[in-house]
Amino acid sequence: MYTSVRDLPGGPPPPGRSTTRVGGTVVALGTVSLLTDVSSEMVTAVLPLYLTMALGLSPLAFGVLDGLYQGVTVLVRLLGGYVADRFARPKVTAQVGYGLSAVCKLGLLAVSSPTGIGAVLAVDRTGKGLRTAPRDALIAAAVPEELLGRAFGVHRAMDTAGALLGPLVAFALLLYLPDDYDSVFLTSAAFAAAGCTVLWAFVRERPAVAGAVAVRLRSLAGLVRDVSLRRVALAALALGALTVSDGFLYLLLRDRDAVSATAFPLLFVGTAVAYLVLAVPLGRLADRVGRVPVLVGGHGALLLCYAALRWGAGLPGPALLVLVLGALGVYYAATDGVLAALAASLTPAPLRGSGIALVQTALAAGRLVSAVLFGLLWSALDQDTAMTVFVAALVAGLPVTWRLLRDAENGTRRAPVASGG
Amino acid sequence: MAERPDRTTRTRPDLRGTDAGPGRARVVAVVVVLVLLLAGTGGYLAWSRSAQVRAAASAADAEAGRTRLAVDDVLAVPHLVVRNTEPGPSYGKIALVPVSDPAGPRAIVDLACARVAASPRAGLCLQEVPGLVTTYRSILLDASMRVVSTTELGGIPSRARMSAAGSWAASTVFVTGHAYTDAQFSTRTVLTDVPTGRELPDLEQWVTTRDGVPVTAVDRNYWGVSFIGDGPGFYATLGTGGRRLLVRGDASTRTMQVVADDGACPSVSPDAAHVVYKQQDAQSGSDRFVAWSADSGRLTALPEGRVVDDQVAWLDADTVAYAVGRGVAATVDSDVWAAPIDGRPATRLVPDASSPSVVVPARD
Repeated sequence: MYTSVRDLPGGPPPPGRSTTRVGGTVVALGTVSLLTDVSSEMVTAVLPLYLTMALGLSPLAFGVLDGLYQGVTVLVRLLGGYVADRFARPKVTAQVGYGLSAVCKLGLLAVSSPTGIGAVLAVDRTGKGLRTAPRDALIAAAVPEELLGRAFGVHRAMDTAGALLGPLVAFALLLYLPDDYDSVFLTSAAFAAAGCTVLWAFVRERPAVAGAVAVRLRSLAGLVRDVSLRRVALAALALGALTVSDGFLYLLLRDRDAVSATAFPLLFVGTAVAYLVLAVPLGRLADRVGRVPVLVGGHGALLLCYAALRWGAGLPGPALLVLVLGALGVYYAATDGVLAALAASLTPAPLRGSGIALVQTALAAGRLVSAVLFGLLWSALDQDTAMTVFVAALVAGLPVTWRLLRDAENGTRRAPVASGG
Repeated sequence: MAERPDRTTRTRPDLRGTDAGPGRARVVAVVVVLVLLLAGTGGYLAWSRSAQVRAAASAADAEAGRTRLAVDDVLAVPHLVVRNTEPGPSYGKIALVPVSDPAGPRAIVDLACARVAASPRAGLCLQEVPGLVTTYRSILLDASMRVVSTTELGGIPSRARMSAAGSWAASTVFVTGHAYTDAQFSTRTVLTDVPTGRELPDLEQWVTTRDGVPVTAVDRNYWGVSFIGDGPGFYATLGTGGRRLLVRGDASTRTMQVVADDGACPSVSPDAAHVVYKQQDAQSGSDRFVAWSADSGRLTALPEGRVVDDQVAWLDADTVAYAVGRGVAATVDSDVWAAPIDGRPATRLVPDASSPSVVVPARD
């Protein structure tokens, strides 16, 4: 599928840009993410084993650890976007984020207490939060606006490939060196360091924008005042709140006996493969037919997925499995990179870090709300009713958010930075 | 504006500056770094591997020098069933140790388990099957430690328990669903009716009440079952909302009631007169064992201050036994210690062992 990478960005190159080199930045950032995801997913895959077998944590302590590092990223992400814009240094900001996570992999070698591990994981998550928005801003700066969808598609596909490879590398290592978790952490640190090196060498700092006003906190106020971006953030918040988290969907699949307990941890692989394959084609489609229709279509796939889980009791297990994981993969491919592309296209270049961070944070906040709501509905009523409520809400909410997004895309693209001074 | 030209674009801090490829020096630097990373990591891995191979060889030599008992001989006398943690080919396998000489030679059963529990009539082994995707199995054993049946286990083994005469088995595993964006975590505890081999639905699907009101929190996690005598009554831990509660349940009605507000990992004495469980120490926040007396209702704290990742086993009506990790790699090697429940200090009982159960052979 990487053949499509080579012809990036395609089309007539804008003056002053060489096609291969513009593509080169995106591929370089994709490579950084691939290496970093191999690194982090290696650790994620063995962490439960390491914690429970090697350290003997009680289930409760583990629950606390997990909860602790879930909450860290949301605010840090906004901070990362702002700092990148404030100092006009998205590359350096991303570099700090990637570097923090790399150091944390070594940190896992050094600490052995639950508190120590909790702290290392929290710093790791901080690094992840810091780098996301600046990295997306760098991608956006590397290609002309009409190719954003494809560029983000390429990046997300490479990112997902890393997430798929990571657990394989980790378990292969544990076969070669049984019970030697230190080797896993060390190898993970090496992958992370390689990612940092590629970022340092092959990605340029975002170029200066001629005549741009310096970014201050006031500029952010301007960003929030910008109708188009506010609409997109609002739509992201709403769509996030209407989305059932994957964890619940996988549990439903298990309750439907569509998957054995052994294969349960592999469910995400199915979703990731579909995402990996579709990220570039759907990104290109978004560039051609518009980002909003593809975003809305992705949520249509999600509706199909929910309906199959809610009313597909008659379907044979494997069919249900393919349908749900496939639809989920389509959803991610049609929304994750496309939403970033939409946010980038609506934000002036000097504020892109903050703009992208704002929209992604709105989505994450929406998903937090949804997780709590779905959990409450599940426990107060039952899983079928909870699913029916979410299907109904998504059916009702999708046209509204569609309008919001369409208005945002068609609205005048006023530069909030101009009013920020 | 705070814009400063990038190091390599110092001379051309404009749009065209982004078009230049990385300088040759930079490419060389990257190649050097990547080669160093590859060589360093590869070298370390190869060295670790050879160290493991050497350790395995010397452990095999040590194994050859050890005296082993015959399994049937130890089965005939009161004995401890443990997971052997002596380094060597028998690491992780079931070991049988006579209660009369717990630090002496042991018998080895050729079956590796992460957790093992035993009774005079049946045993339970929770096993890890390494592979590209590690899987887990639950294995029921007969009185002679032979495999009766095997079922798939959906998570990392955490607790295994048998009822006194082997009518019931209980297992707890960690389930780690891998959502695309975030890790999830929960426990899954399943009771098995041993004579029929039938598994009951996991405890999360049973009804738990607190002062007569059903507990419906979604974040319920159950772990650490201990049967009262030969069942169907039992104690277990309920974790919810960051707290751990002690529940008392009945496998025949599939119901549980909250009986204590701060308690985890219960273990009922053979005469059902005491329950030893973990409480959180108010000052240190760490766990400590307390012994609850059914007669007086009094709690006695045990002095054990080390981490015990298990429930206790009962050596007799007044003494408990449990495994404590040892040395730098507390994970790999551990000893079984014995402690009286009146608060006197623990003494080492079985070296190089974990996951103990005490079995007094049936006389029929």
